[in-house]
Amino acid sequence: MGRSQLLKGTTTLLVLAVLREGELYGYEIAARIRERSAAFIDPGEGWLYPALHRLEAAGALEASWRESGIGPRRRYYRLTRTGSRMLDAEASEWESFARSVRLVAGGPADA
Amino acid sequence: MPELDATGREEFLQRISDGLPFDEAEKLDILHELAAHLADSTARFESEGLPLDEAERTALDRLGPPDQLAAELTRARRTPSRLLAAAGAGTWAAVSGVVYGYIFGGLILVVVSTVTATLVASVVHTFGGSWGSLLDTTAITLLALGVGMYVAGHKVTPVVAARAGYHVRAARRVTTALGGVLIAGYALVGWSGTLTWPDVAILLSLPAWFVVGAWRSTAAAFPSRRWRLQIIGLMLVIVPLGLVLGAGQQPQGSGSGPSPAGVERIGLPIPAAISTAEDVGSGFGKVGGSVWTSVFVGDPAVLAGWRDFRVEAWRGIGWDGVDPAGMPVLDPAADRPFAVGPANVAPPGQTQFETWNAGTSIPPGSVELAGSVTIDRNPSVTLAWVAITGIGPDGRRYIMSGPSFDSTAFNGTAWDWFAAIVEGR
Repeated sequence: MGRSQLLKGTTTLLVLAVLREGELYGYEIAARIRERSAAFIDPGEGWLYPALHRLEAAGALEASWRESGIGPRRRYYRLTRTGSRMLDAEASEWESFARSVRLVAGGPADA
Repeated sequence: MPELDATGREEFLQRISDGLPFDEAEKLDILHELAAHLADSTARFESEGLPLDEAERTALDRLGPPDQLAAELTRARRTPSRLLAAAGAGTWAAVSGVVYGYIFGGLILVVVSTVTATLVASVVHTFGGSWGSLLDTTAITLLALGVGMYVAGHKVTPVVAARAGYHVRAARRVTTALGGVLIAGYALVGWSGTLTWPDVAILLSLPAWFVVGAWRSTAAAFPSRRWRLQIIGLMLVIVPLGLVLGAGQQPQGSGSGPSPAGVERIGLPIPAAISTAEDVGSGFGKVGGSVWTSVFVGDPAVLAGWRDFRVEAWRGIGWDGVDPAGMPVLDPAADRPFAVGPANVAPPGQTQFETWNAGTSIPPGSVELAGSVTIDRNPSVTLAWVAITGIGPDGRRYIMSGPSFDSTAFNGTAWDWFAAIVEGR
């Protein structure tokens, strides 16, 4: 399975996770994910904005336009209370899934 | 920040814009966000050593095909709550569109009708002749409503599409079907009033006005100057055409006069004994679609042996060119009344009125022979001769009062109109 396929199931978790630390705009979110994953997750950003807009429509994120220090105005995203709950649920789900995959693959469950 | 190559970036953003079915403000939000991203992304690749054009191409490539990105953004923003908002905004657009179109169309129609009618009246005055009109007040009102429906159809589709997050061509199928059915229902059973066949035709065309408006709708600003000129042009054709076609129409009115030719088909002339007993007079009035008529008989004894009183309505035809005296006549082809109503004798003291004709007292002991008949709801009849008849002691039917004539404008819905035709009225 390619990374882009794996990414599809984790976009919500990735976006919400990096926004837990504070407000970010789209490009920063993508850059933060790339940095955190040591450039392992860097398939392009075509997935990012649909995911952000979907999460905003679901009430998990709030967005506002603000001037940035450099360049054009940015649309900053902030985690809402709904988003925090969604993040916890996604993280728990992901942990369970990853542990199960490792068990099936023959590795230690808590690796 | 580096300056982006306008060609690649602008084309990309334009294709995104074309693929988004939202209103301009919402589109701009999305496009500004993507433009800011492209600027950042290009700067990053340029800082990593790529030339500007290659850096921008890489930034664009990483966002994927613009059509696909636009489609995914559309799906992401398409929520159930938007459908509710679309329904509300669509309703408002439809109502405001109808009001705007109705007022605009009505104003144009009034102006064109007035000018045309003045010209026609001048011609008639100069050269003689007479003129009815196919375009009565109802027709003018309905035509204006048709313009309103067109504007509603034109406005509602882009609004619904933008609010719901669907492209105009997709939303059009829904608005056309839903609006068409609703307006067809209104045209058939919602509108009720005085109707002639041109009115019914215009009424039934209302869904078509809406559908054409919806089908021609675009996201562009509406109404345009060109559209207004088209409507003015259309009315300049319709109104004179209606007046010309109306040349054969008969005027409407009511009254009484010399008995029409062929009155013997209604009944024998009123007997002298009855006639002389009518020392008070007779009355004739119309309420809604019914004609009420009565006659006072001073000596009730003359009615002994009489029976089967009723009010009969016979089909009349227009007066122009038919009767030299200018009066409406009985339809020569009519061999029976097209409508019949009951008539009864009210005993002394139980008559409807105590006075007659501006205060003349009803003589004590008088009886009132009165009844009513419904003369509307008959699309094939525009004029009626109405009389009270009764069968005398000799077994023959006599005219007891009248006949008087009245117009029989159809009152009801388009559905009533067709039901009456099906029933042969």
